[in-house]
Amino acid sequence: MGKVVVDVSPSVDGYVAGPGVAVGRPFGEAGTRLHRWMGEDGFPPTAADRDALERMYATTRAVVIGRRMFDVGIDPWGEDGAFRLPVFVITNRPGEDLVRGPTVFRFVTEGAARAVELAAAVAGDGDVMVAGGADVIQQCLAAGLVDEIRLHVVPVLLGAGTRLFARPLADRVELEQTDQVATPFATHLTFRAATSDRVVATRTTS
Amino acid sequence: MSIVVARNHEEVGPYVSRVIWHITMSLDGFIAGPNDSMDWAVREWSDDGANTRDIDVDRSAIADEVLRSAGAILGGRRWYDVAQRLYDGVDGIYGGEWRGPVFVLTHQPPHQAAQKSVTFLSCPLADAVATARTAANGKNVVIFGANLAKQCLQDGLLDEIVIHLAPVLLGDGVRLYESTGTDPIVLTRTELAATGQLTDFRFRV
Repeated sequence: MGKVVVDVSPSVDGYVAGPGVAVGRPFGEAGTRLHRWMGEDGFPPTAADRDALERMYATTRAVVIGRRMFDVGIDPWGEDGAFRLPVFVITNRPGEDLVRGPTVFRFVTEGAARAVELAAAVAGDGDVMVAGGADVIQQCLAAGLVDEIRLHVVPVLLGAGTRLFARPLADRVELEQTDQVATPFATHLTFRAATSDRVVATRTTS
Repeated sequence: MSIVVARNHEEVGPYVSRVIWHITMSLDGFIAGPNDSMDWAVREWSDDGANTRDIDVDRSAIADEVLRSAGAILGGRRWYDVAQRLYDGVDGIYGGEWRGPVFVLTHQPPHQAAQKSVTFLSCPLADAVATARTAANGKNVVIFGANLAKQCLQDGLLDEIVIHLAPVLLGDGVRLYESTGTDPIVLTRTELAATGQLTDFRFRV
């Protein structure tokens, strides 16, 4: 069985989108810059950025995303659905599979754990990538579903928007850094749990 | 007193004194943990003496360069109070290695006399930075305190940010940067290193 990998591009101050996320503005005001290293925002990616992107997808066989990310992303992802993989969308609105070329979006109404389970079944020995949004990432961390966190840290301070990590935790979570790659538009860092198999970030009950 | 702050290092060369915000940050973006704890940013040993957490800012070459090239520290009032309460005040700065002047910007200087190396300033921020810069005598000014650093950033007074990123999620504490309704601040990464489990970033503002 492969790994479950959170993969996301935060600003240095930990935002994955600027304020004002909406359809037609998937990363809010100023947030598109966070995905410049992937060739979005009108900038061609450099060779090193493209290598990082290819490495990130090389072992990925299925993707898990949240409904909000799907809603604001589906138009910009275009004819081929961008991911070119099975994508499991966590939602409370059931729907028929949506096929966009090589990308199939499946709607899962039984929560994050079920979505990851279905994705893992499809991925086989490959990895499941939990791509966002922040709330889905936090749900997966809280449920102990995550083996690895990959951050593509973008050199900008946004100051406001959607935080990658927004929930108080019951305990601090120690991680271990396993990889560091610098490309012109981002710094790519990989972490796994320091003391157990899974990264478990449990919320405080309040 | 007015001092012209050079903004473009390419034009003026590296010898110009710079204003540097120097911090350790958790992976979830906190520069101090709950109750201003910093115990997450240090080494940890098991009972049998093994290093169980390879986190040691002192060993970072970038941190060492910041310390060696610093001529003055300018801190905010909250930073000063927390340092007094929890971290041996100015004697605890850089693990006790700091020997230079420390300026604290505050509207209300404390009544009791401070240590000789500490000067309380009640003046506009730009003047405080200029005072610290003069005292630094050609070396750099290091900024301590999230509030003060934010004001420096927004007033265009900060030249660099050096961050040691620790691989831990804290869940709560003092955040690196929060600012609603302001433009994003674009940074340029000028250095990147790994020191044990720390990621050392150096950014130009």
